Amino acid sequence: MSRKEVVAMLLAGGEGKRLSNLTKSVAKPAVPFGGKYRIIDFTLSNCANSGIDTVGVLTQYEPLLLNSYLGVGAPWDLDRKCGGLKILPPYVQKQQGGRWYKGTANAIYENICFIEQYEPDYVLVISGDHIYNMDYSKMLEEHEKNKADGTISVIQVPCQEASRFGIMNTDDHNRIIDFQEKPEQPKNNLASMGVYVFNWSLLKRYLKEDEKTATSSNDFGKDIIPMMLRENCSLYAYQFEGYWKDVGTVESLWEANLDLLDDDSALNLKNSNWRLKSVNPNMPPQYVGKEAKVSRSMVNDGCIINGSIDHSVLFYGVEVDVGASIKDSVIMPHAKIGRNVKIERSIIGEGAIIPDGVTIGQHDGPIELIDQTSTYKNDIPLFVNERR
Amino acid sequence: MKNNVLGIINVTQENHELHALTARRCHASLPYGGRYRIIDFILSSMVHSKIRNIAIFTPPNYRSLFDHLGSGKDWDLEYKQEGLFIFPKNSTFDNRDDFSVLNQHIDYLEKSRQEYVLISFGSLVMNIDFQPVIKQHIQSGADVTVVYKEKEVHDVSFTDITMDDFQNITSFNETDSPYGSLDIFVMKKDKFIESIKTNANKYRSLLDVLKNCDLTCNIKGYEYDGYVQKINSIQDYYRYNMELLDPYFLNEWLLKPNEIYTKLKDEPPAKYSASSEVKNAIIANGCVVEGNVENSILFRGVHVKKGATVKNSIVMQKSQIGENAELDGAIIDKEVVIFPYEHIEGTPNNPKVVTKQKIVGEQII
Repeated sequence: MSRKEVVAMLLAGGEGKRLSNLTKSVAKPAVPFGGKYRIIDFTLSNCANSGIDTVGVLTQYEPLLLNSYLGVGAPWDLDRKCGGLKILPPYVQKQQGGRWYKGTANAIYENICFIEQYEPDYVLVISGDHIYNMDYSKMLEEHEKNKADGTISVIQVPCQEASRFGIMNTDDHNRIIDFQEKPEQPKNNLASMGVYVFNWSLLKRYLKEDEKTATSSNDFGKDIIPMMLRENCSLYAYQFEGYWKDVGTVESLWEANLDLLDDDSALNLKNSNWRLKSVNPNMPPQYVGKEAKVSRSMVNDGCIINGSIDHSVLFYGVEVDVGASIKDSVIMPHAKIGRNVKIERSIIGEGAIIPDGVTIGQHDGPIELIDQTSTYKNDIPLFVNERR
Repeated sequence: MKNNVLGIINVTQENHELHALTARRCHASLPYGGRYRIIDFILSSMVHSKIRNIAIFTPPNYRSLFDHLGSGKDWDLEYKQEGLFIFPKNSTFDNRDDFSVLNQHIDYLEKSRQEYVLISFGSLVMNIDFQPVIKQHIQSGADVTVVYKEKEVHDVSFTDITMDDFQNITSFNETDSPYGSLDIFVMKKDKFIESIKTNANKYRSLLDVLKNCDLTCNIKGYEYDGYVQKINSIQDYYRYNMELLDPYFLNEWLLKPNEIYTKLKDEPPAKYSASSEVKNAIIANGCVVEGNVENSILFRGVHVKKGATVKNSIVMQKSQIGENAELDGAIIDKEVVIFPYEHIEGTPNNPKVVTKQKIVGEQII
């Protein structure tokens, strides 16, 4: 096995509880996003575009769809002779029985053997839950330049939101002097993006140490980073500029989708030097009918539009019948929108069949999520389980 | 179950009527229907008919076809053994015919393990299941089975055939016959090889051999009653593409009986701006629409800028239509740049073609 300078470990076991029924049967990284993608496409494409060809994907919650989506990693050019994409589920160990990963750090600990086979200098720990385009090779350069033990990617967040994040306090040379997890009184607004680079030999030591601590929650943010800081490891912050979003809730998922429609969206999907790669199902091109109207929207292959669409994102194979109007909404793959249906501020789940004349969502209401359990006026089902 | 048939697609014959679109690509790699190439149809049909050893014989200008097909992965033809084979015609043998090209690569045919061959001369736009054709061929005991169709008014370019009451083909020379050959044949591989070896210097093509073959050779017809397009001229190209604007074709025919495969690309979904007006159009991924598009087909990655109007037109991959430019009845080839305020006009019978990578107009500073 040839040596790799860096191995990426991608945490994709997130349950995404706050995404409600969208994650009832799929892990959060596999939730559809942006008319064509799944959330994990961003981190996998970042790896591929940064020249990282060895990626261990740590799965656990509802892995069925995620596993089949990932396959051998070919859509991200990660089907390599040496390295490439490897799915790493929790496994049953001899005489210890089986259990789930106890935390983010434990997930890496359990796979020390996987990493060791590549004898890497660095391990990049990332999460499959975030929407951003980032060149990890620049972060690695910075890490080497600083001769750091670890580097944590940070982004400036609005001060009033800082208490939702892990906040880094740094000195003038970006060295981290203090770390607060979700502080009530944040000292600044540099939030951790959950993207870490560590020197592998050092991280391995800390992972083993942490595993021995019975009281530990085995988490990078809560345990490993504070322990490293206590022991005076040199941890640096790497400031990322650009679009970054944790789509943890139905509202933020909706919002991040519609962010793509801004003319000056910071998230560029059309950059041919930084292609967002994904599994491409083979569908005919979209058809926009004689009575259709489409504006400020993103529409994918296989859609048939006969109604009017404004400021919305439509995934593969969505059919919109005559007289229907869709505004400020996200329509997931293969949904069928009937005649004269009105949809506003909603997320319509994959394969939904919305009967003629139904109204969903309001101009000033909360974000409606239509899933398999939804009904209209308490008796009309909005979902016929008919997955293609 | 895999079947016992080798697929051959011979697209070495070029068509000069289409020169404006085929000067820098071969006929088989002509872009079609917003995201396909002509070859995708016959190739996907073969794949869905469980043929997994397929050879494509190409003309000398094969670069775009190679680029499109790659390893054959997107057609599910990437196998350790067999799969997709591409045999380019050597340009020094430019004026030779079908048989000499096949004869050059006779080793491949001899090595292949399949008992039968299904040969398509040329590349028709059709979505056909070949399995019943093969079944009929084996059951009938015919030496050769020819796929034919009942001709329609505009089908002038098919070779006429006549048959007796038992679908035995009696002649390939008849004019004004109601039936036309689609130039798709099934026969035993050994017979095909023998025919190449003995006739390579005598006849130009398999059709010539069949036309002149003695009556001991039993040739049966197989009627295909589905939709088929033979693109022989710029008018054909324009008309047949425009037929796709009938949603029937887009949704039924491209997916049934089986979906048509093509090269997959990581293009983002099409993006429409606040100023876009789109009516009756086929739009592929990667397009950005800020202007007006009506009765038109936009291939992947086309940009229609603000105030531009694209009407009754076909715009191929990555072309850019500048602000307030107007197109009507135009075929814009790949990677063309139309500057603002330019007008390009043609008619359905005489569409205006703008050739690949051309820059039209001058930048107004």
